[in-house]
Amino acid sequence: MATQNSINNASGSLTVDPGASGDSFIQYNINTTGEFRIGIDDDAADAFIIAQGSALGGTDTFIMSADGERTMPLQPAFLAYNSSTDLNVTGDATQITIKFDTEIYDQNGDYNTSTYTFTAPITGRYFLGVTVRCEGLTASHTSLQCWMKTSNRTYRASRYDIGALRNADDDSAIAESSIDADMDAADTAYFEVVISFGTKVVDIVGNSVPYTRFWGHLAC
Amino acid sequence: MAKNNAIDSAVPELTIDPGASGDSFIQFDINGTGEFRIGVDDTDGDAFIIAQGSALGTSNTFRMSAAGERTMPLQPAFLAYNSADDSNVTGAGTVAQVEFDTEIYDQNDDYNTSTDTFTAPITGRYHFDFKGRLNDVAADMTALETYITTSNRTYYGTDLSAGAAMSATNFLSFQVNTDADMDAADTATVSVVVSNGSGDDADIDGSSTPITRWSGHLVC
Repeated sequence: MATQNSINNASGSLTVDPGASGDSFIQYNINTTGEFRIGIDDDAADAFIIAQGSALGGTDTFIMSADGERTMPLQPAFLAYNSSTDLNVTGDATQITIKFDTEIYDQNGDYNTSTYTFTAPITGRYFLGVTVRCEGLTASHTSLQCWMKTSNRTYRASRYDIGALRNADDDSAIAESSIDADMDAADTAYFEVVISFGTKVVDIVGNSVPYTRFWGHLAC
Repeated sequence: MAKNNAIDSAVPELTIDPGASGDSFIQFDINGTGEFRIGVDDTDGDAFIIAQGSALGTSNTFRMSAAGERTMPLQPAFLAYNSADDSNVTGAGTVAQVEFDTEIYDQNDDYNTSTDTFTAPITGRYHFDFKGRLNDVAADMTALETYITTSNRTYYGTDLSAGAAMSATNFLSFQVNTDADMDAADTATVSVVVSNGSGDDADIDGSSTPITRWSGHLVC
């Protein structure tokens, strides 16, 4: 079948059709520079795609499968974890920034594994979550406090007698937090913990299993 | 007003207008087969729609209301709960896979109420939230761990002495939440293990009120 692009003044519509095969698309240019292309990618199971530039399947920003599953491969989203245990870092009221030094993914390059900080690339609402496993607890460690600290505000999280409630098998317990947070472009987020009233013998667990992890994504 | 579809070469715009009423849309076909239609649905509050196929309002995959509220009715998203108590399932070290036998919703039919398993329909980043409650916890049950097991890795949540943390009437809530990377066909389940008790006497609560529940959705 020949290519069949048409403006239909009888039905108030525009039809784009490449014929027997190929992508069906609309190209948005400014001064001949390809800015975005939207359409159906014949090589991607006929998914509907919004792509930056002048091709589908290159720099896709929005993919809607024929089954209605939407993915956004460049949307800010990260998951990082602590890969090795940090020994004897709190317990005596020493307040620490939790180290999540290894990324599982970081779609937009917004998380820094050296500073353990997420930086918002764009103003929006971000879902952020943390789980931190502590070990080496004793009954004297009667206070856990922790915070998700963002540029706009600090969100207080778990607070309890962590020593009393510790898991007897390995003297462990967790601190955790989750929040939808308003962040402006370049705003940062990181997580702090302090365990008090005992000695500085509490470890922050690190392992290839992400016991201690930090995750987030741009919600809207 | 007569239909007014026009390409205006004087300014960089394309206008699609069905006239007095009707949808304003662009149809993307390949070889005469309707793949996707995007446009404004005149019978749906003039929402902007991305629909699979050749019509708006039938297989909508993306809907942006005129007020800016975005919904995706086929996006993978589920909420399931345990409808009845599971008695004597853990307490002495037995690992119990948590059952969620009743769905509240399952938009893309990815959750299985018989195997209590979520299967990712497409590669992406998924968010999971689990909240459960135990009953008949005993003081000697001094260890509890709960986790979400995915094909790629395991994510741990609540970690404590169940016996120390339980309420005066022997209840205890526990939870896991995380973002996770899943490949197409990867699976996820929820488990809990309570240890050091004299027997597996702890129950996982279930009720028509979703006390023990699990939800998830495709983030991006």
